[in-house]
Amino acid sequence: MTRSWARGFEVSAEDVDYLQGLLLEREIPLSLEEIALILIEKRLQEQQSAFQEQYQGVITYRPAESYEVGGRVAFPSFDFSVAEVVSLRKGNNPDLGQFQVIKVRFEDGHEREFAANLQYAHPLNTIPETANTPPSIRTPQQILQADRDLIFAQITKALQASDDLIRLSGNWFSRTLMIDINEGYLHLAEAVLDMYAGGALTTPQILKDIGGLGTGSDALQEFCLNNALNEDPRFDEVGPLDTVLWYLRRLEPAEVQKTPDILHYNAALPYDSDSLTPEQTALEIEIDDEWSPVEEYLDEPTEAINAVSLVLLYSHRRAGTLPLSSRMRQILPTARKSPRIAITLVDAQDNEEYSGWVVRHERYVYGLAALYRKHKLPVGAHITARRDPSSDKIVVDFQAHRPRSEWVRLIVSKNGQMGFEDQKRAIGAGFDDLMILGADDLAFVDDLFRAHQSSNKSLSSILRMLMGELSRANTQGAVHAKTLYSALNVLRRYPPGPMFAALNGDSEFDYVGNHYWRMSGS
Amino acid sequence: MVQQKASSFIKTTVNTRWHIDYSWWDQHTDEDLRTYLLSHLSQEQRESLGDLSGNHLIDLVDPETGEVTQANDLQFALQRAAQQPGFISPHTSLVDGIFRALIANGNRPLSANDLSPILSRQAPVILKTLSGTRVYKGIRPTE
Repeated sequence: MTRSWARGFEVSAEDVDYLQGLLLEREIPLSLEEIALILIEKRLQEQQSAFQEQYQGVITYRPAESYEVGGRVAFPSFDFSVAEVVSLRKGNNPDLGQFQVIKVRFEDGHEREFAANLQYAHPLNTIPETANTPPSIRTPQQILQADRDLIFAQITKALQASDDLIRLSGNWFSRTLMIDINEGYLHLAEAVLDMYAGGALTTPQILKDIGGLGTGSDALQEFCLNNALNEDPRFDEVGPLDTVLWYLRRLEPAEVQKTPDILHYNAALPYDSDSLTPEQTALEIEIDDEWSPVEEYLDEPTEAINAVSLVLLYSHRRAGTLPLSSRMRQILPTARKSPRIAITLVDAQDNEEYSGWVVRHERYVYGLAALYRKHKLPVGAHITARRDPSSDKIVVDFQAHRPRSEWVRLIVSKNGQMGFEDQKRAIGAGFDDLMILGADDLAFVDDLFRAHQSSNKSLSSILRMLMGELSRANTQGAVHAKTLYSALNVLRRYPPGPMFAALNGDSEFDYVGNHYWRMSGS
Repeated sequence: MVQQKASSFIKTTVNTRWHIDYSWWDQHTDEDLRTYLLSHLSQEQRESLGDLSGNHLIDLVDPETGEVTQANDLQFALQRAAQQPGFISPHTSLVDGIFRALIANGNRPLSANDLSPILSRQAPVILKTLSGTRVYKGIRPTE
């Protein structure tokens, strides 16, 4: 079977030598897949040779044939096991006429007797000689497809142990044949990227603009330039999976190189996640904050999605970003190593395009500030994002309508502290009325945020302050968890989980049902 | 090597396979095996048995593998008889019918489901007969 074939697959030092020879001969880098197919084919040929050697001079058993002592015979009914004829005698059966009986010894020493020179039509007489070919031979492609991960892991382990081999973007090559990329070429590459406002450019584009490296095949030049750019801190590889794109690091937005403070969440902070009720977990999954452990909550992977709907949080509205949440990760490109991926964002309302960045480890997508400002999108706006299948661009949309006067929860200063007032404002986008927030004095809100970064206030004390302020607008003094979550993130970045744990663990908060909370005794 | 087990100690089903355990004849019955085996031959076949007495061991050739096994004159006569039409007839008793079906199959094991079309009897009836506490004619399960 193919699977058992792959389980026995190992890469020997001889295999690595063979690959090095191949790389020297061809002078082009090979992808891991190409190497895998070469090694599988080599192994199949070795097995075929061993099989042929094993069956050299071996005759397939047919009862009608005659045999000599010392002859080697393969028995179709015994999985083509090979045995040696050790003796011959006359057969004795009045119904079968004259025939012989051969005694054979199998390789395990076991002896059996078989009929020979048999005159009647035995079905084994029609077995063709070609039957003794190796069983279950598949193509290298079929073998690789059946157990890609296992085979790739074995090969990678062996190649990594070789000092002469170098890997870049999934391709392997021999160090001996690498083209020397001098400083002049790197300056030219920098100049080319400068001309394109930093990038992102593919390696062939850069090679074309610098006039090539003078020697070696296109594939080798590409590999060597990639290696040189990769080792030079001026250049950043920003391509999605299996695509190499280069950008000048100094021209990348500061918000991509360093996470904006307003988005920074200390994921290492412990909280009592076991205290969350099933309803709270369900709400956390619904909100799908990028720092919520949504994948851990769901037993099975969710179905593939083409579009994501989310509610814009203050932190992202202020930073001009979108969260790289569990659902967003399904539509956005990823990479093996690159921490930043350059993408194109498209405004679905007018098709205007923006340079965007997926910042994988810090879990956000940068590049939406201009779009938010253009449409005056409020905190709490319903946003949708989808991947354009024809271009891989990310299309961002919202529920646009003619601006109308809506009640908005405004962040205001109350003696220098945070307060809220419901005021009418013109809004031209669909929004979640539990999470909507507005602010006329952004400088004041920024000051509030900075003050909370430097303070040692506990999450509970911030929630008590927010609950006190937000509950004034409600006759029953209750505040919805979503409203609290939206307001909390103006002051400090938190996903819903720690907030729920703080609410559950503080006797000053009373749960009144349906995700509403109020201060104890109010 | 076929394992020998008493049917009363294992849970048998219509797929449990049975064979003739010739050692049972030595240990569990006073009945003479050769006499019983001869009873499966016709008068004519019994008389012709004398013609085979010079051939001490006869080579039987497996129809599928070509492998040769050896049989004595009586076993060979039974093999021959088993190829004749009417060896198993509606008038044959159930136990004798099972015994004859196993002989015809070279004592390679058969299940109640295998025996049912040969004997024109329902598999549960065959199973009920074989799976009781009593062993008939050395017919025992192999598994």
